[in-house]
Amino acid sequence: MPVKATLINMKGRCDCEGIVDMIKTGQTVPFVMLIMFFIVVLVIWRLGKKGWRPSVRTIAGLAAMEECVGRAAEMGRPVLINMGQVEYSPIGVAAMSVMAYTAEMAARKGAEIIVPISYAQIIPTVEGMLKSAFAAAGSPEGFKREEQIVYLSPDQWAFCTGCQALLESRKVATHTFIGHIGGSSMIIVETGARVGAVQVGGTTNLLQIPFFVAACDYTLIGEEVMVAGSYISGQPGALSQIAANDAFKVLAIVLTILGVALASVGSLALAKFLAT
Amino acid sequence: MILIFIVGVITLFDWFIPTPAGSIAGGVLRNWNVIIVAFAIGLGAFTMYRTHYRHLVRRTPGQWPYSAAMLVVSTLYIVVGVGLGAGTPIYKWMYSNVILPLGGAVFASVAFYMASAAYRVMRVRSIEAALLLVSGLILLLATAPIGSVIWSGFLTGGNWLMDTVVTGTYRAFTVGVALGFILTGVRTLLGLETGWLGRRE
Repeated sequence: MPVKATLINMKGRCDCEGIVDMIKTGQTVPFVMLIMFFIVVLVIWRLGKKGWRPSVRTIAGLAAMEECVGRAAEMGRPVLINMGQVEYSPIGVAAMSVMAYTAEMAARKGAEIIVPISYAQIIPTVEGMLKSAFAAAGSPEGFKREEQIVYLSPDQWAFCTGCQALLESRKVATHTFIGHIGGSSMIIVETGARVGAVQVGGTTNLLQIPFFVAACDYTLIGEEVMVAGSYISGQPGALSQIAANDAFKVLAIVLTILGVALASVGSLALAKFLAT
Repeated sequence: MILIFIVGVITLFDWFIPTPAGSIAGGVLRNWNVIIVAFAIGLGAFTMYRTHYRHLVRRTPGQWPYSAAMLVVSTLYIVVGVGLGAGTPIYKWMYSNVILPLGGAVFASVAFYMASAAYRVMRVRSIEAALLLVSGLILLLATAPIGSVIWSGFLTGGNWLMDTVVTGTYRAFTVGVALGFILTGVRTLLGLETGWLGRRE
């Protein structure tokens, strides 16, 4: 998209050397789509704030979370709130939202909490979230940093064996494993199944989903993890994200069908348009 | 929230509309990110040392020997890595003869956990479980050399399953996950996603 523009660089000088392409080649449609994302999210959030509440199907794993945490409290055994190997990324944000909710629920029911950490940069955030969770539950003195936040390792296999040790030595009753993990997921969830923990698992790493399905009592698949934070909050403004997600999914389906139909008759017009 | 929005917009702007000023700003932010992560790793190391030192001092039953080993090995790696350098033969020897084999050993045990989980899940108690068992067997025989010796149809069937059913399903999930990623990012930039800050919306 060639546009004549006047650019002022950081030294205050004018870069007016002819016509420049404002948007990087091949990124025009993604840029426009991103702007649409912003607008749709704001509009639907606003509708949610005014009271519009989309009907959302029950996600079994999240609906059973309270029961699972209650089980741990009754048995006097801890809840292992595992986010896998997350850092500050969309999946990390989603996992931390679920972690905050689960921690508050566990704090209210008086269940012991353990949060294993893989990447150190999220420790301050997790610490703040647990403090807030205990404060919201009315027991700020229940936050015990040394016992509840366990830094393991950024190495996948070291993290895996660390989680195994926690599951077996602490005799975990409930294991929520919602986040990101690689090939070591099978070892962790199978160990959880072996120690008799009720497991709610979910990841966006689609290659690991079969292992979660095999070993967990409840599994969140793919995008269910991303909307989990909104779902469990139950707030209308948050639930509206699920509607925004579905709106763009419908758009993706329409574009796919259209693209397949056009490609079947030999036309790549849609593909070329989307690549501009 | 404002800080998140500003940093996010600068990074997006740098990607979509590259300008000299945007590139400089984006580069500075990325460097800051690397520095913050480096400090965070130091924080993690300090936390780890403090936790395991307390286990060692208190002689926590069943834990203190492992904490002692952890402290000794960590200190050794830090002394050798910082003192002699991470590119020296001794450090490389320590890494390739200790860490890599240990990781490989743990990785190797995945197969046994997988067998254990498969035995538990692949029991024909429902239609879905039966479908899982049949497709799993077909793919197993398609992948193993003996499958094509028994019947060439296993290879054909396995390839068909992978090329149509698995690929199509995988792509559908990928689109859904990608949309979820983008929307979570947009909500975080707009300050609408507050769950990770411990706040309800």
